[in-house]
Amino acid sequence: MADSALTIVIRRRFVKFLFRVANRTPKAVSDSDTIEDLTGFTADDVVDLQVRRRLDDDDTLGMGDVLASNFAPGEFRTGTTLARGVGIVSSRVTLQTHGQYKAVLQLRMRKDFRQIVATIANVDVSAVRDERPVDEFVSAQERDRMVSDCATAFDKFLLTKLDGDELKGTVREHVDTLVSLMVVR
Amino acid sequence: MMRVQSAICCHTFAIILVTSSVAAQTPAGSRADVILAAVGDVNGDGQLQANELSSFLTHALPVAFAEMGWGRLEVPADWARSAAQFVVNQADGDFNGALGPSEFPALEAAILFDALGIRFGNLLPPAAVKQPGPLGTLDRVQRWLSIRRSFLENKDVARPASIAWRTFDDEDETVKQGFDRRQREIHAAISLVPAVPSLVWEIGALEVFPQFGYEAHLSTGLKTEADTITHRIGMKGSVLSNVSSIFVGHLFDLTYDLETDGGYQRDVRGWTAQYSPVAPKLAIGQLHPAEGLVQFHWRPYIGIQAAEVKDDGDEDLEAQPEYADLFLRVTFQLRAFARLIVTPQVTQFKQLRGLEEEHTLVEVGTEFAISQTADGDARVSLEFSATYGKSSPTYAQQQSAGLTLGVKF
Repeated sequence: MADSALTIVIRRRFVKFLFRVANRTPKAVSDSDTIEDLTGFTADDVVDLQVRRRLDDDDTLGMGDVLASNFAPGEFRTGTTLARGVGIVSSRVTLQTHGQYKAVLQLRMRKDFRQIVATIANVDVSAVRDERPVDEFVSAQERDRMVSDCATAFDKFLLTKLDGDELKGTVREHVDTLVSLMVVR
Repeated sequence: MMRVQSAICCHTFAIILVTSSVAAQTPAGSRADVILAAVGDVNGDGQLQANELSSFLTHALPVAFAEMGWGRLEVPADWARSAAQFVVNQADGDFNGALGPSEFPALEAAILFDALGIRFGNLLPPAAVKQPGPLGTLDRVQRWLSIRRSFLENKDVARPASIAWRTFDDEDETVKQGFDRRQREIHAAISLVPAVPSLVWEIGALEVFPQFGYEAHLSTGLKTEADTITHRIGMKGSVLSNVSSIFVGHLFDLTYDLETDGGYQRDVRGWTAQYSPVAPKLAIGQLHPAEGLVQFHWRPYIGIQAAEVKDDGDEDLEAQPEYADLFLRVTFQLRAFARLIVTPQVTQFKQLRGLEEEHTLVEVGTEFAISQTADGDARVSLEFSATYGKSSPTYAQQQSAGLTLGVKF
C-alpha cells in the first residue's frame, strides 16, 4: 500500500492517464467523479478495454512500471469513482513510499537522460557523467531537440510541462530537475 | 402465417427494481480538524491566527523543500510573519483577522510561491484518499455477474432484467389462441465472467476469457417466441489497437448455445458470434461532445446466430426451424439535460438458410428521470419503449409499446 505522498503522485498519473486515453482536455476533478464522467466512456466493456488493459501496459500511457500485477477484468467500470480507482491502483503498486518512487525515478531518469544526451551529441554514454555540464555536449540549437526528446521519453511521468529553460547546468542538475517535475506534489 | 398488425397491440406496465450497492466509502473525516492540528491551533479557539500560521511556516517550509529535493532551507522569522499575513489576506473572507473552518478551503488554495505554483495547501497533510474498502456483496457479485434483459443486448444501453405483467390486445398474433392474454413474464440474461487472472488468456494485443450465460424469456401465456431458456458457454475477448488510431479496440463474444423451453422439452443447439468496434473519435463507445447539455454516442454490432434443432420438444410448442441468421445492429443514444435519454436501436436480419429473407426490428426507448440522486443517477424514472418489426429466429411480427416505472436504490 502506497503512503499518502505516493498516493498523490499516483492519483495525478491516473487522472492524467484517464484524460489522455479518452483524448479529453484536462479539467478540475473530484474524488466522486466517475470514470464515465472523466472519460465519456459509456460501457463497462469499453472501460475494461481502454482503462484496465491500457493501465496494465508499461508503455507511454500505462502505469505498468509501478504495478505489481495486472488488473483483473471488471476491476474498473463506468461507475468507478476516481477515489476508488486511485485506491485500486495504489493497492497494487510495488513501491511503498514516495521516497522509493523518487529513487526509482532517479535511477531511470539518469540512465535515460544520459542516453538521450549521448545520442544527440553522438558520444559514448560513459562520457556523460553527472557533474559535466550538458552544454559541453549539446549546442544551443540541440538543446531544443534534447528538451523535445526528454518530453517524449518521460511524458508518462511528467506531471508538469517541461520547460527548456529549466534544463541548465550539469547532468545531475538536469536529472534532478526532471525528477522534481515528476514527483512534486 | 404471419400477419402485420397496424395498431399498438401490447401494453406493458412493469415495476423494475434495480439494486446496486453503494461503494464502501471511508467516512469523511473533518478536514478542518486535520488543518487545525497540522498548523497548530495554539490558543484552542478553533481558528488560525497569523502568528500560528507564521510558526507553522517556520518549520513546515524547510521540510517541504527538503522533500522536493531542493536542499534544506531556513525560514527567517520576519519572512514567515510576512508570508503568514500574505496568506491570511488571501483567505480571510470575513476580514476578522483569523481564519475559521469555513475559510480553510481558501487557506489551502492560498498562494505561497506564485512562480513555483506552491500553495499553502501543499504544506498540509493531503486530504484523506479513499482507499478501496472491502467491496460490498453486490459489488463483488457485479464484478463477475452481469444481469440485463438480453445476453446480446448492447451493453452501453442495456435494459434491465424485468418481471412484467402484460395484457395483450386481441389482435396480437404472438399469443396463442386459448391462452390468457394477461400474462406474467420474465426477461433476464445472467452472464458470468470469472475475473480471475489465471483464466485470462493473453497473446499480444488479444485477450480472451471465458464467459457463461443463462438467458430466460418465460411467459405464463406461452408466447410463441418468448418461452425460451438459453444456456451459453464461450469466450469474451478484445483486441487492443493503438490509442491514436480511429479504432482503438475490438470486442467480440463467441458462445456455444443450448436452447430449450420452460419445461426443458426442446433441444436446439447452435452458435452465436458478435463483434463490435470501439472508436471514441467516432463517438462509438464515448459520449460526444465532451461537455454540453446534449450528448450522444452510438455503436454498431455485427454477428451471426446459427442453430440446429435436435428435438422440437413439446408438441404444443411451435417447431423451431433450423436457422443461421446474420444480424447488423446499430444503437444510438442521446442524453439531454441530464434527465432525458433517448435510445433508438435498429437491427437488420438476413436469413442465410430457409427463406433467405431480410427482416428489420426497430426499438426505441425513452427514459425520463423524475427524481435523481445527488450524483445524478436516476432514482425514479419513467421509460417509454416501443418495438416494431421482426426478430430472429421466429420472425413473428412484433408491435408493442410499454411504459415502465423504474425505481433504483
